[in-house]
Amino acid sequence: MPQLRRAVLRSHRILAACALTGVMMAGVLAPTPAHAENPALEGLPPVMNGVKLHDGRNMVSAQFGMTLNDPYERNLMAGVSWRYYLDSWIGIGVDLWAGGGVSTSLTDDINRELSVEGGQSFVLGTSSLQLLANANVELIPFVGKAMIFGDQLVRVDFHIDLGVGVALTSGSGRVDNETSVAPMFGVGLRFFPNDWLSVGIDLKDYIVNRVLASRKDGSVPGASFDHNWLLGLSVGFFFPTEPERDE
Amino acid sequence: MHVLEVWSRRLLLPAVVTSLLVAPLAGGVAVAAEPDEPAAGSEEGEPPADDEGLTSAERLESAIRVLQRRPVLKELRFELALTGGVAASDQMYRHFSASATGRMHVSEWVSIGATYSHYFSEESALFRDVTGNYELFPERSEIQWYAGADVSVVPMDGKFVAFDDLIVYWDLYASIGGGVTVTSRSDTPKPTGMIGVGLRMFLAKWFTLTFELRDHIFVEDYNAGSELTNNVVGRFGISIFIPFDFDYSYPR
Repeated sequence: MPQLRRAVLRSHRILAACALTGVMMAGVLAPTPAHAENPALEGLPPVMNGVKLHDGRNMVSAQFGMTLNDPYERNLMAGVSWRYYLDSWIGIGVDLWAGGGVSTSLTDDINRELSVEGGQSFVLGTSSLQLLANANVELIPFVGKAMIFGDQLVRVDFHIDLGVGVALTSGSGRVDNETSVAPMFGVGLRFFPNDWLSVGIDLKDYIVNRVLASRKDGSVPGASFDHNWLLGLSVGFFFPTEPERDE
Repeated sequence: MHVLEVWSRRLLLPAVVTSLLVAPLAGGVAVAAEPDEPAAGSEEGEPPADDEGLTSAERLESAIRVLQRRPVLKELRFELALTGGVAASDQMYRHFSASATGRMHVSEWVSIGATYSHYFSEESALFRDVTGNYELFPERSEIQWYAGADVSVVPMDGKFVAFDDLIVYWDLYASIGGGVTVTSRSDTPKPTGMIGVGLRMFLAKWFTLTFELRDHIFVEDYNAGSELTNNVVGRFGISIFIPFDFDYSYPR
């Protein structure tokens, strides 16, 4: 009997969970309020007289960034990028980053702890990102408008970057310089204060095959693919400066 | 006659009255709701400086600012946010969190909230590397839970169109607050400051996808000394607004 009671209780819980999920999905799948509540908008496209911020335009941007969550070397990078937008939702382009690494506190701690007092100091061999170059496809699932403090209108897009390229890494100590294939995945937001200027923030993951650090005895482990999360800020310029508009 | 034309005529008078009444109170909203094309006068929506040659109807048209209703109202609604997250700052451990936040929106722009986060921790590969390769043993500090309160403001809101089809309303909020954190080093709660940003995407009037990035700042006591700790957590989840629906109110 206790087993039966537990089974009934479990079925009730599952039922409740299903009901809650159903209610949520019903809400999620319901038409957006703007369309549902204004009959004048029925059958009309969601955007009328839209500004074509991307279609057929080029973007050249300067970008600055740093990698996150690095165990041994933090990378500070600067670069340029170019995009050509084939349509409102897709573009192609290239990214180029160059930079160098600075030791993290973990590296400093290891060097300090393993240095013999009055004897030879220990220096951990590490690697850092020197150059990242990749070709991209950029997808733009969301474009829209935003108000800053209810006063200033800016346009905004949310984009996804998929790319592949090469990474050059710079080694120190017994860790050698290396060249690696570097697939990349990223997401970002881009704000448009006007029709030809954008300010963007991007988070990209470059997957690079490299040795992160040597061991205590100085030997070097084999290289492996690791994530390199690059947080970047960019300023972009669009050409032609005057976008077309939907008719 | 085109349906839009019919409705625009029907809505003309209410729109004029409404815009005159509400525009002083909500100038920003008026701008937000404008179509993409620039106003007849200028890009800022000012009436043309030189309106000679315009008919009275054209002059009226250039002066009228039509207000659309904000698609979602938050004022005096309660928000329950349920999120899962991962902490990014401590590389020796993987900290996963489950959080519940209750937030009362006192206005469209300001809300007051309370949060409880419970953490689940495990050693990372780096921890094993450091102990295995270098024979060094970092002092353990696993975060167990956080509880606190915050004030959030919405500096930016807008709408996205997804693939030229679906309109999604969103807002961006910034939070500041404080609370206590308990770690594995001591059962004593540690005073904690918190700053964060979040993004809500409204899929329905009462349902959003919620993204948050929060930095919890506290002082951890290690054997080697005290250290300022930043527990940066990225969260993703849902929010449910109660009551589920709302009524629009007008000045008259």
